[in-house]
Amino acid sequence: MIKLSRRLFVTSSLATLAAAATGLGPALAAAIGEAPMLKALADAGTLPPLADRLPKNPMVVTPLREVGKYGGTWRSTIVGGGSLSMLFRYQAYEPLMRYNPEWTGVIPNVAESVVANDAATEFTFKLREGHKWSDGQPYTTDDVMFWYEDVFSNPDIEVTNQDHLIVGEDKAVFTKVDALTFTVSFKSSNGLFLLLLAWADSDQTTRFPKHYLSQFLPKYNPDADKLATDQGLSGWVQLFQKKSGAALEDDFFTNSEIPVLHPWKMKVAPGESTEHAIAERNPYYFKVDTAGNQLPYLDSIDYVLVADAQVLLLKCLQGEIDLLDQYIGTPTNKSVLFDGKERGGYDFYTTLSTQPNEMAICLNMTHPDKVKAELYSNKDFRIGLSHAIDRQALIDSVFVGIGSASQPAIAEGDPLYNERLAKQFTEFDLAKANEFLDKAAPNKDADGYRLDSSGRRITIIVEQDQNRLEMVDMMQLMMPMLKAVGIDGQLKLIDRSLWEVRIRQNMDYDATTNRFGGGIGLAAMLDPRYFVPYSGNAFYAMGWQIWYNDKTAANAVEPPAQVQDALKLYDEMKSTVDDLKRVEAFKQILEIAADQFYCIGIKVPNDAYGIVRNDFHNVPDKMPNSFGYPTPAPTNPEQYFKA
Amino acid sequence: MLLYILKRLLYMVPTLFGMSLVSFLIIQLPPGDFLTSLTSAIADSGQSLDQASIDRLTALYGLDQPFYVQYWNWISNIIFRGDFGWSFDWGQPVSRLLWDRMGVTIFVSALSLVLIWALAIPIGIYSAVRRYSIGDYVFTFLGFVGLAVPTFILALGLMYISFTWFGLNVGGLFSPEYEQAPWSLAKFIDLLQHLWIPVVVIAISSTAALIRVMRANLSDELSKPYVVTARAKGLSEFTLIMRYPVRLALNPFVSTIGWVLPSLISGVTITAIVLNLPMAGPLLLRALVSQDMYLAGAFILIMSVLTLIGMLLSDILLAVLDPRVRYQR
Repeated sequence: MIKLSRRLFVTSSLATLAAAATGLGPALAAAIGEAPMLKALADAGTLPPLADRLPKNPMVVTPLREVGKYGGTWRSTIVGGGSLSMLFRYQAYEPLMRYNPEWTGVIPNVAESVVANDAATEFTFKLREGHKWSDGQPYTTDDVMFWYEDVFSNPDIEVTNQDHLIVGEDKAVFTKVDALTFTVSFKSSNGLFLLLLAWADSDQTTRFPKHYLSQFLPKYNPDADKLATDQGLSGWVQLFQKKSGAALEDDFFTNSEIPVLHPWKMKVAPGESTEHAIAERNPYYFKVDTAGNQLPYLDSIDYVLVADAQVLLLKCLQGEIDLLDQYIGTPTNKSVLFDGKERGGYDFYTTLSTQPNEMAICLNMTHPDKVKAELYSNKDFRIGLSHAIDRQALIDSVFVGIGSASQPAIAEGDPLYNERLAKQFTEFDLAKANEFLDKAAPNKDADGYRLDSSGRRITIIVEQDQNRLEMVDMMQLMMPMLKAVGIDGQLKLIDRSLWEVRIRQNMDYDATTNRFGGGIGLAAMLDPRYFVPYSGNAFYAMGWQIWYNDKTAANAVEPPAQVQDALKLYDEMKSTVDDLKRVEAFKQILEIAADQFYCIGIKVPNDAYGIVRNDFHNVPDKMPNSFGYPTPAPTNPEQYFKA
Repeated sequence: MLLYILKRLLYMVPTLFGMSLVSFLIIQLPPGDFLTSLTSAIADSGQSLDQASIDRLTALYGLDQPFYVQYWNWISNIIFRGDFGWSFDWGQPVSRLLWDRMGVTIFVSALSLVLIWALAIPIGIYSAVRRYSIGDYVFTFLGFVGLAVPTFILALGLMYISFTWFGLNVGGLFSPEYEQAPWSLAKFIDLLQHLWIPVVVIAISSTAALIRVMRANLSDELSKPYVVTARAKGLSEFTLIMRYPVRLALNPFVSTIGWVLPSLISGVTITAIVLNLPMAGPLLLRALVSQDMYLAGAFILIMSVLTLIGMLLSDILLAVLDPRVRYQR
């Protein structure tokens, strides 16, 4: 029996989930409280009474510390140039399933309950009776089926972020059982389905209101094309994409018309004003607190749209931001924010890192230049480079000494922690570095640089996104370290979009650096990009990744047998319903990753932080930091309140 | 004269066409397109977009068409329908974003322009007339400081001072509580409290430069024989200076009006970003970074139009001001 910490997801035992769902809501006799602004409307007769707005069985959220008070505006922000998917974090995290606040598992959310068969091929969801969209129209299986039949299965419409509904080549099949029940079935097992369904933007089944969106489809509205061309668009497809956000989440968030199930609904969308976006409470929101008060407590969210993170920092110091961890939670800002605590009337909370490393240096092992590919694939070469890096020097100068040297790995203390994967080849040892490099490239030229097998000087051009400042600092410090062992390292700082084109679409880069991906139990299983080359984020071997996803693709490169084993284990991990088997498979993947040593890391990632005003309550002191777990949404912003 | 103006207006058409073509081309030059910046955001979040999806989206947004087709679609919609297209980034019609920002931009810019001239012209005259006096040295010193300090540093400094010393909320044009409120006296006072920082910051470097120009020009004129003659004839010193040498020294001011209009939009971008002003500059910058080409193209087009109008204005004014450059045939 494996003992697992609470950080690791283990409770996917599906029977438990259904039980938990019914046990969760000590079904209330009656919801009794509502926001004064809604009560006034209901009393005036312009809004139905509370009982008619809530589902029969509303979801009960236990407030973190205390039952809150109604009213107030959450002052938040969006920094220009970023993606609006940031808004999932604050106002829009309501998928069928959601992560629990600790990120150790999932709970039913919009779905009242879910039951899975033993093979994890069929999942039966039950919706809440009487659940309504923010405009009062009922949310039923018809909305889900509308999305499935007319959007997801519609060849004309581009739908993104549906990886959880696809196993191998096969797409999920949705079947309506009755107005509140539907099933999702797969040809083969999809053990990670419910976990992935709670991912921040796996929520299209709960944000496609049929009564609103059908007007943009020719199937329901013969004039749909005209509707589009009247607005200067090319046709109904473009208008539908724009109104629904099926492909691009930004489109969803810039549409203030679309009815939602979220606690707050866009009133002034970003773009309708370029200074403020405002979201207002949804009178039909389906959750109540333990005292029977309809949530959310806060009336609205006001996002000030700023162009620059420094302006934002000043706003935080002035106490104009209520809660924020994005943009500002950097090591350099910590001291000035700490000094301004009293004046700004805020305090800190910790956001726990869920990533595997501060920076992963990826040599392109599937470089189209065969000589380079062979050299970079030589493990001795990578080991030599790794030993040549004085990690402590980097940690001291870039991270004020915080954190310890590590390769990209699972965090220490996690039950999946693999010490070899984390610590191998991390000591700074020039003798060892030269010993390994001599095995891979013994010959040197007159200037002391090593030569590759075709007699060229080994020049590694590291192409890097110039906006990742800490990585730039580290790489600049690292270049002389490489020179000391006879490697001609060159740093090429490029703009973000050029980086995307160069790295993701061309394949002839020497090396690059990146981060992200999962580094603690659940996050690592859902995004193991540095442990197995399964997706387009495997910058160390794009060719292998392409081979895995499409064996006939032009630039696919067949990986070595051991890596193929890892990819098979990854498939097994995704399909199995047995938690122990999944953990076992993942452990083997990590062993192979340790053997393969895909990329070179620097140090364990730092935890970050956020600020929260002293009059802003029910915010936990610690929470995981991730996009998939859209920090802080799983900690239930609807129960935050101001007093 | 009328014929001259008409002719100039006609010349503006091909110039504008060339400008729009070149600016559209330059916007398209960087690698990738709007979807490239978008896919990168998607990838960071743990999802991945396969190439087939990207291709379909590219086609849907018309980004796969050749340059000239995209240009034609864009420019023909503007000319024939007054439609600037959609902003990819904001999901809104460009015209809505454009006019939203242009109002504030023109307001703040005009105010700054007034301040610049109100300060630079008298100080410049004073410095030239009282050359090498204490006052001249003081203004010269301040002028060089004004020229040398980057405006965004000045902006940050003033923000810091007004926040730590006066406890004022800074950045933007209004305090949060007034931002959405209807106009009132309190809101107006709040606006004035915020407005002085951007106006001063934007004005200061231009003022410094213009003081130097005014001083140099006027100094040249003051030693000319006609000034001596006028003085010998007993004209009062003030009337003398104002009526003749100052008028001539104003030439460079007037002939640069054409540059002032666009530079007030693009020249203060960094300041506007630092001060979080709802002006056109930051929106243009963001549009360029995210390759939101219709929005960026529209801004550049509007700036081109402003430049051309400014040039025409300055030529006309110059003719009015200085008989020597009047159009003759």
